[in-house]
Amino acid sequence: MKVLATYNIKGGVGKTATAVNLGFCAAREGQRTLLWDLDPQGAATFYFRIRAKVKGGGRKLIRGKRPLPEQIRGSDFDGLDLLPADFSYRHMDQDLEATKRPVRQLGNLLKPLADEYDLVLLDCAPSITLVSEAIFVAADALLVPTIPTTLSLRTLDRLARHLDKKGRRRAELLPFFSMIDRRKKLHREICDGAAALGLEMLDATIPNSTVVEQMGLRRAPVGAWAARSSATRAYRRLWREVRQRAGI
Amino acid sequence: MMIAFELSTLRQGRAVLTAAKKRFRTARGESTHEVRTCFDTFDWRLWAAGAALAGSREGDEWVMHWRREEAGAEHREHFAAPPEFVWDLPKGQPRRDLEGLVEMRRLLPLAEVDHRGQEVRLLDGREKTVARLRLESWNVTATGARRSKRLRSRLVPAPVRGYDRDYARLLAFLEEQGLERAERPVLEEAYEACGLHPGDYKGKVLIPLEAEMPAHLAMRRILRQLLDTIRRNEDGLRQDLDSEFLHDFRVAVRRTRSALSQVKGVLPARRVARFAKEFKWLGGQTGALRDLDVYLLKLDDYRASLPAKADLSALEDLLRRKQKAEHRRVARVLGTKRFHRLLPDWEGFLADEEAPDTPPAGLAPIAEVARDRILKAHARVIKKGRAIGPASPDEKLHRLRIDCKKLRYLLEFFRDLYDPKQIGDVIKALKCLQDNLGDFNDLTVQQGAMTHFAEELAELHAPAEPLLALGQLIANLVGRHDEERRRFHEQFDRFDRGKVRKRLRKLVKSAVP
Repeated sequence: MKVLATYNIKGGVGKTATAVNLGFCAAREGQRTLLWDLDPQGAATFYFRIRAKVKGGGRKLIRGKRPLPEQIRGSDFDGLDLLPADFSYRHMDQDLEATKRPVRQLGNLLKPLADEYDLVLLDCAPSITLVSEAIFVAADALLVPTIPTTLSLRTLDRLARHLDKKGRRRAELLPFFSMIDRRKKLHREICDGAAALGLEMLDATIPNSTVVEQMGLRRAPVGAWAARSSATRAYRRLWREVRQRAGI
Repeated sequence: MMIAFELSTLRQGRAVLTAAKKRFRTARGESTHEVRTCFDTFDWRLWAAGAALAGSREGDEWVMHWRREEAGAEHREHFAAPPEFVWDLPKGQPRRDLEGLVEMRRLLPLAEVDHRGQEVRLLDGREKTVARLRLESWNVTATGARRSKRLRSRLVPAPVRGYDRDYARLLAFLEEQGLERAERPVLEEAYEACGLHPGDYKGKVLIPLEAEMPAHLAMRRILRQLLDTIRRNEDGLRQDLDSEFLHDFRVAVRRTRSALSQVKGVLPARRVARFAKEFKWLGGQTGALRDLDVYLLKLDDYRASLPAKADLSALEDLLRRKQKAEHRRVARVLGTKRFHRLLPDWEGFLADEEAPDTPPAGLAPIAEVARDRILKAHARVIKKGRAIGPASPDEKLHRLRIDCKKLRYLLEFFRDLYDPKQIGDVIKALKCLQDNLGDFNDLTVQQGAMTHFAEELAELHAPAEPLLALGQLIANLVGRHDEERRRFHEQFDRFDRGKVRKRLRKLVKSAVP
C-alpha cells in the first residue's frame, strides 16, 4: 500500500481537485484506492456527495478509539472509497498531541488497511502544523500543486528545505505546476524558469480550466463527466508520472 | 457467496428494474458489454481459493482482471498478451497474490464469457449512489468450441460500502418480488455449461474405503484411482503444458508400484508381476525429464543464493535445451505400443473383481491388511533410522528416504479407514522427516548434476563467468547439504518419539473390525 498526500502550505492551489481526480484515475486502472479527506472544510467529501461526518468525531478516530474501516464510504466509482471529513478535524492537532507518538499516528491508523487498499490519498488542509508533520511521515510522496508565481515557488523552496532537514523518514517531494494560464506571460516565464531555480518539477502540469471549476457543480471527478476535456487528460498524464515516480 | 437472483427470462428482470425505479430514487447506471476469457490451472487452484482471473481485449492490448475473493474488488492491469504463467505478469500485488496460489502451474484459458450488464443506481437525498442493481446476462463458450451456451440471466444487488441500510432495503424489495436466489457463483455455472467441473482434479484424493471390505477389492479401488490420475495427466504431459503434469503422473506411477510391492499377496501374483515391471519401466523413462524440470524450477532460488551479478543464463539455456529434447523423448515413449497397451490392460485387470486366481489373503478385511503393512513399514523406518549415526554414509539416509515414502503412501492409501485428525497428525510428523530427507537427497543429486552441467558447458567452450557462477552454486549446495545432514538426527528423533509411535499403533489397530 502506497500513501500519497496532496499538500501545500498555501490554500486554493488545487489540492483537493488533484486528490479527487488522481483517485479517480488510479481506481480506473484497478488500484484499490482510499481517499482520506483530512480537511475540516470537507471539499473532497462534498465532491463525492458524501456526508461530511464521522461517528464519534475526529478525536475518537485519531486516538484509535473507533476503527477507521467503519467510517469508510464507497464513492460512486468502482474501487474508489472515501474516509469523510468532519468539522471536528479542525482540532486534529490537539487530538494528535494526545497520542503517544503524534507524528507516527496517521501511519499507524492506516496500517490495518494495507490488505484492503493499494493506494491511500491524503487530502490535507493548507497550513503547516503537527498534522502536516504527521503527513510528512505517513506519506511515501507529497504531491504539491504549485501556482506559477514567485511567492509560490518561494514557499515550495521552504518546504523542500524543511523536508531535507527532517532526516531519514521523509516523503518524496513531487511538486507540479497547477492552475497554469498559458496566456499569462508571467506563468510561462516562471514555468520555463523553474529549473533554473533548482526546483525539480514534474513534467505534467494542470491547466487553469473551467472544467475543474465546474467540479463543484457536477460533484464528481472530471473524468466521470468530461472524459475528453484537456483537464481530464492533464490529470491522467499527472497520474501516470506520479505512478512511475512513486513506484506504484 | 455474493447474493444474486436467477431469472427465468430477461424480460422478468427488466420488469423488476422498472419496479425498482418506482420504489426507490434511482438513476440509470452504466450499460456494459464485455467478452472475457477465464483462466484457471488444471487443478483449479484459483477456483478453489474463491479467486478469479480473466482477460479481455481492449484495442491492441489485453486487460487482466483479477479478484482475490468472490466479493472482493477487482484489479485491472494492461499488457501485451495473455499470460501463460504467473511470471509473465507485470510485477505488483496481483502477481504476488497469484504467485502464492498458482505457483508453477500454467494458466489455462478455459472459457470465453460474453457478458452484458445493465445497471440501476439507488440514490440518497444528495444524489449519491448508495446501492446498485444489475441485470446481467451471459453467453459462454468453452475454449476451442464453436457453439456458445446461454446462462440464466441474473439480478445482482451490489452494496456500496458504508450504506448497509440501503442495501438491506434493496434486498428486502427483491425478496418481495418472489425471485429465486442463485445457489452457485456464476463462474461455476459458466464452467459447467462448458462441460467443465471445477474442482474435479486434485493432486491428492481421499479414496473411500470400508474397514470390512475384502483387501483385493480395496486395492483395486485404490489402484483405479491412481490409474485415473495417470490418465488425466497424460495429455498435459504430452503437450508439456507445465511441469506438474509429469510430476503428478510420476507420483501416481510410483504409488502404483508401491501399492503392488507393499501390499503383496492380495492380488493375483503372476499377473501383477508383469504390470509391476511395466510401471517400473514407465517410471524409469520419465525420471530424467522430472530432474530437468526441477532444476528449471529451482533457477530462481539458485539465483537468489548467488551475488546479483552471477550469471546463470548459460546454465538456463543448457537446461532448457535438454528439457526440450528430453520431453520429445518422453512424448515418443507415450506414443509406443508398449505404453498404449499398458493402461487399458491394467484397467481390465483391475476391473476383473471375480478373478479366480485371487489369493485367499485377498479376501481378508482391508483394515487388517492395512494394519499389518503399515506396522511393518513403520518398524522398518524406525529400525533403519536408529541405525544411522553421525558417521554413517549418505547412502543410508537415501535408503531411509525411500522407506519413509513407502510408509507415507500406505498411510495415504488407507487414510479413510482412520480418524482424520489422528491420521493427519501422524502424516504431518512423518512429513517433517521426509522434507528433511528429501532436501538432503535433492542437494546430493543437484551437486552431481551441476558438476556434470559445468563439464558440459566447459566442453562447449563457455566463457569463464557462467562456470564461476556454477562453481559458487555448487559450493552453496554442498554447504546446505551438510546442514540438512546435521538436522537429520533432530528430525528423526522427533518422529521416533514414544507418543508418535504409540499413536500410530493405536490408530491402525482401531479400524480392525
